[in-house]
Amino acid sequence: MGKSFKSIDRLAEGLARLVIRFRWTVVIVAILSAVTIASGGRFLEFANNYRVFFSDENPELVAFEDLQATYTKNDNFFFVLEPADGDAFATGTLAAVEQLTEAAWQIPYAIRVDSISNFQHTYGIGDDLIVEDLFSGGASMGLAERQRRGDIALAEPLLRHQLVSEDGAVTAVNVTLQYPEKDLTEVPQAVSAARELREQIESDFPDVDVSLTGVSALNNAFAETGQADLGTLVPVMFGVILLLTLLILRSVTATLATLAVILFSMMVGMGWAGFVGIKLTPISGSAPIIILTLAIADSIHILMSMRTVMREGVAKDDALVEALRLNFMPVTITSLTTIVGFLALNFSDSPPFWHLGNITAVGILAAWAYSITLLPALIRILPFHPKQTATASIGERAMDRLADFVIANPRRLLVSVGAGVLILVAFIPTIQLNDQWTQYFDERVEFRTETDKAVEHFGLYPIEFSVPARDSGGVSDPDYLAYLEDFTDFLRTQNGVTHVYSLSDIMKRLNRNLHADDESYYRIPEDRNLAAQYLLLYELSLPYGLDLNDRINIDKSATRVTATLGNVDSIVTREFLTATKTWMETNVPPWMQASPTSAQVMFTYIAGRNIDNMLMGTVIAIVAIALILMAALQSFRLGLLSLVPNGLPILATFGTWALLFGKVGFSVATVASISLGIVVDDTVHLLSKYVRARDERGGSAADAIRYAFRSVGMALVVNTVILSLGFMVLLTSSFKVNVDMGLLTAMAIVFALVLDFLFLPALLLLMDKNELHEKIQGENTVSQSIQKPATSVAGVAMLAVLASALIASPDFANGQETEVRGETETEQRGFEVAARSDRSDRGFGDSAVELEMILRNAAGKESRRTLQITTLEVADESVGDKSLVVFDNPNDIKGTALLSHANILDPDDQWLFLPALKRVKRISSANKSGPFVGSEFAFEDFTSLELNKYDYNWLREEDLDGLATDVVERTPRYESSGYTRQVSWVDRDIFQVRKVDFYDRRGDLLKTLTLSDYREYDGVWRSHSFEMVNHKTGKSTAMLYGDYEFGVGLEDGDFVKGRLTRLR
Amino acid sequence: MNRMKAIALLLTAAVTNSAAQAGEWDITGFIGADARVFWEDARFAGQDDDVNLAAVFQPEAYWRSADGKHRLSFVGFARADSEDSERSHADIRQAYWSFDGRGWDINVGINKVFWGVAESRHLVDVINQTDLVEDIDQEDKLGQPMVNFNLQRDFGRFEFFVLPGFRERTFAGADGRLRPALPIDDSNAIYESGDEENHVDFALRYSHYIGDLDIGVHLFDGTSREPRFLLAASGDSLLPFYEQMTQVGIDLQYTREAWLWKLEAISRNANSDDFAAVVGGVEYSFYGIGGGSADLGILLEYSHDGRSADAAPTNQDNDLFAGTRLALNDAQDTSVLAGFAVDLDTDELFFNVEAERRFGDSLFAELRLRAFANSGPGDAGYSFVKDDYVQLSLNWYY
Repeated sequence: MGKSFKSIDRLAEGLARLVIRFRWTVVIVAILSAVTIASGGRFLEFANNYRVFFSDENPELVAFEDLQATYTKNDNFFFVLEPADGDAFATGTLAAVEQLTEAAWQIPYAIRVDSISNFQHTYGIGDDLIVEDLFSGGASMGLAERQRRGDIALAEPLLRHQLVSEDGAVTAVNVTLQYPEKDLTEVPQAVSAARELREQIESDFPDVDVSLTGVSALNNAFAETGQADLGTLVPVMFGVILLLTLLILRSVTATLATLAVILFSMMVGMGWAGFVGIKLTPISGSAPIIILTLAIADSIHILMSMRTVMREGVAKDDALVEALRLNFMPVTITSLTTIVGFLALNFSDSPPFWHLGNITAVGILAAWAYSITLLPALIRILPFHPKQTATASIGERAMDRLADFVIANPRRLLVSVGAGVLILVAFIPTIQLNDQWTQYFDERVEFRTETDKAVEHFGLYPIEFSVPARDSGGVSDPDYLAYLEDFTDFLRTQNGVTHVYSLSDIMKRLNRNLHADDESYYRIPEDRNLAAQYLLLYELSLPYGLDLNDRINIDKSATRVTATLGNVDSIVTREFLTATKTWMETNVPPWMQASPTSAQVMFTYIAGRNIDNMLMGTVIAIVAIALILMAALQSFRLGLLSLVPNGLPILATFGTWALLFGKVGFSVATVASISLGIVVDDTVHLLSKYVRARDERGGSAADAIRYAFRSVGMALVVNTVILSLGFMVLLTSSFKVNVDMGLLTAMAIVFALVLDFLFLPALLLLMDKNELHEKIQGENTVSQSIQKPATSVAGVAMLAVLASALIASPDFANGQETEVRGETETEQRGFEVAARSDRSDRGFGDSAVELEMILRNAAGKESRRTLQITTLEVADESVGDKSLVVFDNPNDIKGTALLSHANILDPDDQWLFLPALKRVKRISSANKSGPFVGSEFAFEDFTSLELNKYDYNWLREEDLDGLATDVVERTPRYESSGYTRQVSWVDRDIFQVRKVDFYDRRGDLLKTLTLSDYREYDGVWRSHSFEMVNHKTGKSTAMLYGDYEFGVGLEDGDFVKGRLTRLR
Repeated sequence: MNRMKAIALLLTAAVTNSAAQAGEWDITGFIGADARVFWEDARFAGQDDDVNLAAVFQPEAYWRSADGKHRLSFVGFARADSEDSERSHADIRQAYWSFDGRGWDINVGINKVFWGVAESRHLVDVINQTDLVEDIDQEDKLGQPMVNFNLQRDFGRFEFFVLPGFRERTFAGADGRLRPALPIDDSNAIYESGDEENHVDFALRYSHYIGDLDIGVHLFDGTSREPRFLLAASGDSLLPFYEQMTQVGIDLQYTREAWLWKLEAISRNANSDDFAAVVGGVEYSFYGIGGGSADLGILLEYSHDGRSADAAPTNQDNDLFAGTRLALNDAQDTSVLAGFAVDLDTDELFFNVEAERRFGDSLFAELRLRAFANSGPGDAGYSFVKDDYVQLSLNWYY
């Protein structure tokens, strides 16, 4: 083992002496090389097309490019006009729309403008088809005419939800663009023209608020965000680094030298990117930050070693040589592993990540080279006098203590840290892939705020289908059109869909127009030739720029259907796409199958695709890094062992993320390989010192760990602080992908340090335990570390239980509509009465109310209790509501609470909170007929108010104290009810229950409940007085309710058992 | 018009309600007196008389901010005992600030946390120290300083605890009843950790429910709440010795119809011993007995403990507990719990009866009877064998 260490040491020593000797040459060469390569930076530009996020092979991109080649390009601006008076058809708004429609043609590369003003309105006069602009000179139209045309716009499926909101309050203008794609200035040109136009309209029409979004605005945002990020993040990063190095090294010289190294490394990385023609994105734009962060580590290690050696009294030159000798190998290995980690990003499906990986790899290579040449040369030239301190520093003492602690408790640490990590790992399966790409940008970006405004009124995420017909001209085939109509109708029912643009709507309209606007002809024409003629007639009448080429392909063998989605995330989109695929396969003939495509589709699948691709990349990186470590440490065993503290932090990070955020976007896949390359550094430093100690000093495992902690422990802490802060700087990026990546990597780095300090040494000690035992027995110290496998076994078993519980956690809520139940007519009528009554009480969301309960015994003696009830409505009628009852009085039970999750036929889930013990106890809810807190109300009278808990039978109409009522008998469907039946009186005015008779198990009348003092809260009725009289005992209970509060903002989280302990 | 009225009503309701509840201190608590009567002569010389009188005071104050996010909570406690100076003591049971962040919350200060499901023994309940002089059933706890962060997710609740500052268990003094043969000198406790009572402990708990099953898992690392006892150098007293321990545990309750099935299990790793312990059992309720409104519950629990003689002592190493709970469900909340525990190794018996009822609106009375039998020399309960007692407590709540 020792041999090759020695030869590397000799190499390092030789190098160091050469550098010291030719120090000026080294400095000059370094500066020249950095400046030369950095000159490539002049070629750097930011890409302004979202397509750069997708590789050329990305199947969704290929499909989308295909569609765009057939129809029109999809680049657009979307102007949303929001008039202050809320009337899109007011004269001012119409004037604004017309002016904007006209002027939008002047935006560079605009090929089409759509608005309500130039919408091609058609109607028939006799056999003639009249086609004209819907609003032309709208500002001078009379009120009646504007209203008539407004109604047409609102009734038109092509306009409603797309260019005008349903209520006619907001309207939009869509501008389609076709870029030559020759120059990166095209998009900014168009965007600046569009922005000017927006300002123009806003100044001409101060009452109209205009927002600007669309694909072109998005593309521009990528470039602007990247540039802005670079402008803010890099200076912040330099500030952070300057401060940290000054603090840590406490030497101006050392700080300057370090800054030179990292600055040159960054210049080399970015210059190289310019030379190879990389187009920057916000993602690859974070490369300089990452290079700055990583490059600093090498210098810190070398300088800290040098300082330690000099404190022992060694002369400067010799100390420099010794520092390089000690660090050459670890610095080389860590650079190599980090480079491997970043190069693995080339497996990603998204080119910006390739660029990020490659730029960073080049930068790290440069950092390595400069750290072992430029750094020692500069240190040699500049004055460097670390302060002499006689005693060990605080840091070293802390490290000694930490080492002692770890050596004393290896098994305990292994179990507790391992258990902690495993618990976190158990959460990884709960991570959901979810993205919403407009939210890649934070609110500092104009595109985001404008889009947020626009999306309140209109869907922004089109999904395109090119639906093929059977043959050339087949789009007029009535069969085809009928299927198309079905498909259109289906799409309109889907969750998240705000608008569908389909040829079938145009054909139906034309058919009606050409039958003298007879409504009954608003259907698909039955004859193919007729349909083809309509279409031809229509097309001939359309003005330039508003033709159907963007809807129907050249030989009329396919049409394009566009479903626009509202404010949806990628989970909803995936559901939509899956549902659509299934529907198509079962409802449409094989020749008509169409696949969805669009930017939204591409972004929806990119996270999953990226993970698939990166999986391979990460595996290869892991294997490569393990091989490097085996070679470097010259130990197969240690190389393999190192994978544990390197892999676990990444898993722990994902687990923590699952816990904290739960959702992850497409940056996640890349984090594993990036952080692997970085976190491995700690292990390398610790293990190389450990091996060196055992090799050169021949110590025991425990001694070697003490040595390793002492010599590199502080440097690792410092390094972790720098690295995690560096990645945290990314949190200030306005691009969410960078924020996530920064946070995840920073977390992984911190976890890595914890595991390297607490887990790795424990692992080493236990692997070399024979020696440890000898040592311990030899020194005659406490030998408590004899294995007790029981503890670890119990821990593992518990984790297994936990993990399986998580995986098996049930799916709630499968929404089902209630149908009218009952077989006979009276049963159905009874159910209907009950259902109407129930529904008139529902839709309240949540409520809170205080009530007083007055318990009277047969002699009329009263005792009172006050309580508060909060209720959360669960809309699904097959699941019951959630409620929480908290007692206020008598004082000895103050704070006692009962939490119920009602179920329909199964017993409710109930927990009782006892404030004196602070104990939460799950209680049986089988006790339905038992009295509720000593009152005449049974538990079931309180909790069993759900419609579906009973079967119903209508008995008769009856006059109850002057109220017309339906008398309905209800029989409990749930088990262990105390009643055979109940008879309820429901009034016909406000449909509320006025009185209930309860019959006990023997069929005798047991109790009567009278409900009065009904008050209405915004459509929801509540009784404020319940009087229950027990006919058998003569006792009675009254419940007097205070005023209800609705919409108090309660949510599921307020009705979980863990919340109960917070009541007192 | 109607709608306007409703909105106006709602608004006034919201305003008046929030003004009445939030932002104001809610001051409650109780003042009480209790008497313990021991009907046998004391076993050890110097132990006090047969009648033990005491006054207790528990002031409570709660405050909640208008938006409900911030809460302050205070519960104090004081007892003045006529005989045993060790029983005269005061404690801050709770004094904490709490912030609710929707889905997570944080509590900082002194607080009480209960974990577990079983009735006869509280194995997994490790956060708070037992206030043993209050009651030998170990259900009275001392306030524990803590920083507690909780995270509520769809798939369960995660609780993280950092516990700075350790509370020593309270013990009856030399002149008090219910003490071992040698009095415990709790002013000279010894710690394994060099940080002594300043050792910072950690705990982590996950809990959730899946259908009828409630589950909790925890990990605790720090100073054991259960002391071992070392003979003082003088030989005339015992010194509590608090070890460091790492404990993992699980608690389960399966609730089905009138059945509650309960299980608590721990595995504890300490210098003196590594062991596992378990308590499990069943509770079954007969509802509406005799056609009335009273409920009768039957409790049966078995407790096993694998700890060796080196570890902190327990007298529940192989015990069976059987009991019954009668709740009348009347306006006075009358209930009676009666039961006995038997040590299956030594046949020692322990009887317990607890009866309680409210009188009027504010007075709450409690009667307790405890008796020990069958203990021979060397058995765990032998020193208590003359300490059978009946206790009457009257507490006035304000």
